[in-house]
Amino acid sequence: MTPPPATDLTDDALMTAYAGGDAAAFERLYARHQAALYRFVRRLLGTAMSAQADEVFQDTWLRVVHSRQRWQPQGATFRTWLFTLAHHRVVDLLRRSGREISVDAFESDDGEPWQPDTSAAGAAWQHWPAPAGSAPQGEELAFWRRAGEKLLDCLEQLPLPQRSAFLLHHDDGLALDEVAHALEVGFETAKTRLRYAMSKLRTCMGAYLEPIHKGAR
Amino acid sequence: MTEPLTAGDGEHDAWLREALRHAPDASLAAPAEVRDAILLQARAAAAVPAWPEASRRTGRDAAPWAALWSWLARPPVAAGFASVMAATLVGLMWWDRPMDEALPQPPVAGAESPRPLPAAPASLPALAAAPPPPAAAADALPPRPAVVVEAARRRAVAAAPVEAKEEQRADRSANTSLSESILADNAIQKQRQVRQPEASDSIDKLAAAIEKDQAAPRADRERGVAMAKNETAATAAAAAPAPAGAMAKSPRPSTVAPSPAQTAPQPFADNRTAAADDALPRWIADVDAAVAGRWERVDPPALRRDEATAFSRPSNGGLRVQLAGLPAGVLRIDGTKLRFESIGETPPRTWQAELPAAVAERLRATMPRQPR
Repeated sequence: MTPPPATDLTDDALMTAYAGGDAAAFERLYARHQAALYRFVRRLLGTAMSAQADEVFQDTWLRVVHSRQRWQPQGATFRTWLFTLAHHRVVDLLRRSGREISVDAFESDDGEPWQPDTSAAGAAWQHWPAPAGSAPQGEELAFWRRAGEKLLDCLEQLPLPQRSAFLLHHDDGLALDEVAHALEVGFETAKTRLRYAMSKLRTCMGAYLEPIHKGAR
Repeated sequence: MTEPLTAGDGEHDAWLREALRHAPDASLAAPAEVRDAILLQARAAAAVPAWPEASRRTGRDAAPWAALWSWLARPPVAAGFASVMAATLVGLMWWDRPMDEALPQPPVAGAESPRPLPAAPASLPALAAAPPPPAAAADALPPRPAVVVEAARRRAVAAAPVEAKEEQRADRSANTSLSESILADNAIQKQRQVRQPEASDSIDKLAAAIEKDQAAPRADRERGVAMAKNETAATAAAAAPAPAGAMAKSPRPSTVAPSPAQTAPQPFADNRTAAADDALPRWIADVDAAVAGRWERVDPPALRRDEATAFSRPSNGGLRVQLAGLPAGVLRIDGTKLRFESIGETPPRTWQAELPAAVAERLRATMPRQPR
C-alpha cells in the first residue's frame, strides 16, 4: 500500500510525523498555514503594533516546534490550536504594552450596553454590488479594494475579542465551535461576539447606505 | 441595480468577507528571514531524538518517570532547579563557618607587605615602626613585645625630623633588637635635655615623692624613680611632644607639637614596665641574649595543669608589655621557662623558651618590677 502524497496528509498526520523527526512534515505545515496566520496576527495587532507582528508570528511557530513531543490530536484541529497560540501571544503582547483588553462583548466602546442593529439586518448591503464569486475585474476590483481598506480601518475600531472572533470566522474559515475553542470561551459567547462584530462593521462600512462607486470608501 | 441580497446568515457576511479578500494586506506573508529562522529551528529540533513512545502514550501507559523527566526539561523548571542546586551548594560550602572568615579582611594599616619573620627568634626586636604581624605569620614566632618607650619614640619621630632619621635608621634594620633601639633613643634624648627644664623639675619632684613613699630596696627605688620619670614623660608627651625612647638621666620632652596619636589616652598608663631607664634596656638585652633561638610556640592545651595554674596567678615575675600603646602580652619567668602570653586573644597564644637555671634566676632577679 503506497502512502498518500504529502499534500493529502491532514494537519494532524503531518504534526505527528514531525514529532517523529520528519522535518519535511513541518515545512508542509508551515506552507499550508503561514499566510493565514500572518494575516491574522497583523490584523489582530492593528496598525499601531504591526511592528511586533513578525515577533508574534515567529514565537507562535516556535511554540509549535517545542510542543511537538507533547502534542496530541485532541478535540481541536491543528489549525485551531495554531490560531489559539497566536491569539494568546497577541493578548500577552497587548497586555505588556499596557493596553486594556476588553473581554466583555456586550459593551460598546463608549461603555453603553450595545444592542445589535436587528432592524437593519435585512436592509444591509442592499445597495452594494454582490460579492464576486470569482476574481472581480475592472471597477468592481477597484471597488472591493477600497472596501477592503475601509474594512481594515473599521476592524481597528473593534474591541479585540470581537475582532478575533470575526477574523477567525470570516478570514480563516473556522467554524463557530472552533472559534469558541480558539478564544477559550463558550459557544454562545463566541457567537455573540461575532454578531456584534458584524453589526459594527456593517455600520462602519456603510452597509445601509448607497455606496459611491467612484472614490467609495 | 443589483438585486438586494440578504446579508447572509447570522454568522457569515459575504460582503465583509469579500472586502477582506481584497484588503491591501490580503497577500501579506512573513519576511524571508523570519521564515528561514523558523524552519531552521524546526529542523534542528527534529534532529534531536524525541521521546516518541513515552510522550505520546496515554496517561495510563506513560511511565511516571518519563513524564517527570519531560517536566524537568522545561526551561523554567530546569532554571529553578539549577538555582536551588547552586544555592544549596553555596550553603554547604559556608556551613558552620564563622562570618569573619567569609568577610574580606581589610588591609592592615601601614603594612604594605608582611615583614618576613625568622624561623627562630633570636631576640625581642623593636616593633615600634612595624604594625602587629598577621596572625598566620605570627604563629611561628612570639609577638615582638614592645614597651611604651617605643610608643614614645614614635611620637618623637613624628615631631622631629632629625630624630626621625635616627629612628628610621634604627627601625630599618630588621635585626635591631629592642635594647639597641632603646639605647639609640637614649642618646637622642640626651641631646634634648636642655630644652625643657620644667619637665626635669617636675620629674624630680615626682621622683622624690615616690622615693619617699616607697620603702623598697635601693635597686627597686631606682627602678621606681625611673618608672615615675617615664610616667611623667608620658604625661608631658600628652600635653607636649614627648621624647621618644628612654629618658635615661634627665628626660626632656621635645617642643614639637604632638600628633593625635601622641595625645591619645594611653591604656595601662600605670604600667610602668615601659620605664625606659637603663635597667630595663639592659634587662631586655639580657633576655635577648638568653633566649636566642629558644622560642617555641606552646598552645594552652599543651600546658600541664599545674603549669597553667601557675600562670593564672598574679605573678611577681610578670612583665606586662605593650605594643604601640596597647597591651600585647605578659612576659613571665617560671622556673627555667621564660614565657610570653598574648593578651586580648581567644585563645591566647603562648611562647616559651627553656633557659638554663642560672640564667633564668638571674633574669628573674633583675626583672623590673611592676608597682602594685
